[in-house]
Amino acid sequence: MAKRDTPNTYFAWYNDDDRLAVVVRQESSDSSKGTTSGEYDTYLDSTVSNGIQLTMHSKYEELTEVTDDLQVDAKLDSVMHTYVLDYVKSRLLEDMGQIEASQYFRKRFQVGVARKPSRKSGVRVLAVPEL
Amino acid sequence: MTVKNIVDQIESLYGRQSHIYVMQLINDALLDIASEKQHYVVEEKISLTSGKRWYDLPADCIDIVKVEILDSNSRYNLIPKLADYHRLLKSDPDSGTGDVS
Repeated sequence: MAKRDTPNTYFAWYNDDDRLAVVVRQESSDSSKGTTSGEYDTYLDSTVSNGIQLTMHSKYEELTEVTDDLQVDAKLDSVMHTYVLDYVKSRLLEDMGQIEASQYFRKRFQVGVARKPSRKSGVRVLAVPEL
Repeated sequence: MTVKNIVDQIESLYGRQSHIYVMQLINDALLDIASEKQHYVVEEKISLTSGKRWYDLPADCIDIVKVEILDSNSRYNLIPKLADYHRLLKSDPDSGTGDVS
């Protein structure tokens, strides 16, 4: 329990492609487990319901109904909605064999998405090292 | 803008189209946009389980922004990412024996 008093002192995380690993720094050596003080190992204390909160960038929600809204249901910023329309036009024109027109709308889609600024938040500071 | 709005605009330009197909194209567009720009931030809670090191990430996850642990005062605390785990960690008990390093 002591480790959960100040989790940022003991816990750490890392990940591979599709999994998250949560580990805990060992306070003392334990020859039976083969761990030494300062090493990280699996959490072995009591299970905590909703004990990990993961904040992540996610894919947009999939639309399944014609009444679904891009902003409300897919969570797509309203600025991006016209680019979705460009994409659909591009694909349909491609199906119709109108490659030049298709590429025009595909380019509009790509430029529009690239130009949309990332949402910025928080305080910005220069990370200048103290010498 | 709803799917219906897009279908209406498309049909006014190119004639009758399958709504299911247009909806699939819209979902393709959403995937393309998500691969370029990560605007959609989601929080998910998972139980911290004794003896478990690896937790499956949700299928929709593109990348992890931060991980927090519920402290003993029921508040979430940010925890650091372990950068050099290959040197620090002992073996993963879920997958077998032997040191990682």
